[in-house]
Amino acid sequence: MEYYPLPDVLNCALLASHVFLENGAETYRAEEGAERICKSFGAENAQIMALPTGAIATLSRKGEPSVTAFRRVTRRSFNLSAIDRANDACRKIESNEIKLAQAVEIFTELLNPSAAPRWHGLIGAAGSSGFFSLLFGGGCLDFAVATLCGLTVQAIAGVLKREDSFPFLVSLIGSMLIALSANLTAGIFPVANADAIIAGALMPLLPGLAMTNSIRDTMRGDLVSGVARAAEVVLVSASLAAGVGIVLGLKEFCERVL
Amino acid sequence: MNWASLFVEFIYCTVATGFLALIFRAPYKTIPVSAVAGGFGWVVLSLLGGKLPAYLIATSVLAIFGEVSARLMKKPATLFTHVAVIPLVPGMGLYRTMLYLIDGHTQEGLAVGVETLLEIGMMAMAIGFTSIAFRRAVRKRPGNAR
Repeated sequence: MEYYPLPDVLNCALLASHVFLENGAETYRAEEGAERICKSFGAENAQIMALPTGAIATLSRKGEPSVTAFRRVTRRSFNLSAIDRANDACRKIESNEIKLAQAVEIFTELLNPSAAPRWHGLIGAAGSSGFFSLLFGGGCLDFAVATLCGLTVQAIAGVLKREDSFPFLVSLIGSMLIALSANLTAGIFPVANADAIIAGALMPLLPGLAMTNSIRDTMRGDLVSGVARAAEVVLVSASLAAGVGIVLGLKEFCERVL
Repeated sequence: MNWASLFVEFIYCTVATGFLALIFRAPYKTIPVSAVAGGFGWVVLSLLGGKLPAYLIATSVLAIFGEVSARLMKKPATLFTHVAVIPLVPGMGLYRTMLYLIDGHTQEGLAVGVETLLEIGMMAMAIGFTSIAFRRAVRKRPGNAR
């Protein structure tokens, strides 16, 4: 086996953890991936702890002082392709197909997903909102409104993400917008089904992935990550509900006054 | 059970899940698989009546499907399971809870809210147990961690 200095191995392992955590993988995957990288590159003892907000690792080898480093993860989103490619890289490292320098290159590239096209998110949100509203009993009009809502909310989410604002702001503004347009549509066209529009357009915003990740982490014994992610889920669902609630409350108020 | 409407729902749910996979930037190769799985999960849920055990069974079916296709396509199971499961997440329940609470029907709101939470819990249990069972069956974990 080739000899690699421990700090370089540590850097590569934490980079991999960072890629996994930033793109919405489970905590155990981030820990296990880093551990496999360390073992493959010759670190005899690797202690790694990954949290949703960062990863810390200590590596040691006989006759050498141990090294420790920490890496902070600030952005968190969902990119399954990146998880898949990072997972693939980990497997190739384990089977000695790629060297350390190449691995670092791959992970660094995955960390800067400049190539990810934005239209994917827009089309995805529009289409899923529309078809979910059909699934929840909507008609053609509901389909059109939900599609428009999904598109708009995703576009706003993209802008807000670039402005580096709080994540729950997207949920709050998004759900307010959805509830508002659904109720307006139902007010103007009596055939429209406001419930179907709201439920359909909310689907892409629901923290489904985060929720399952949270429970999975807790069940595997990553208690800190599990609770941290659960907090995120509660925050996002509460702001979604609050957004709808604000609009419904306003509507009630208007009806009483008018 | 109305088979025609069930089939239409299957189509809707499959298409919607495919679009969802796009939002999560799933690799193109996995999108058709998880989309069909999503539609299938919805059908299973509807056939079983949509009560608590139905959520457990439907999600288990999806999770097993995800683990199997993960082994076949050599990709992490997350890619399949987590996308396919999202149509089952009771978003309508969360919304109805809020609707009742705003209208002042606290009793109904709490009832629907608790039911929704239990359904979410069932789904998470199913995913968690399936993934753990598969990992145990395939290989013992190396190393000293945990």
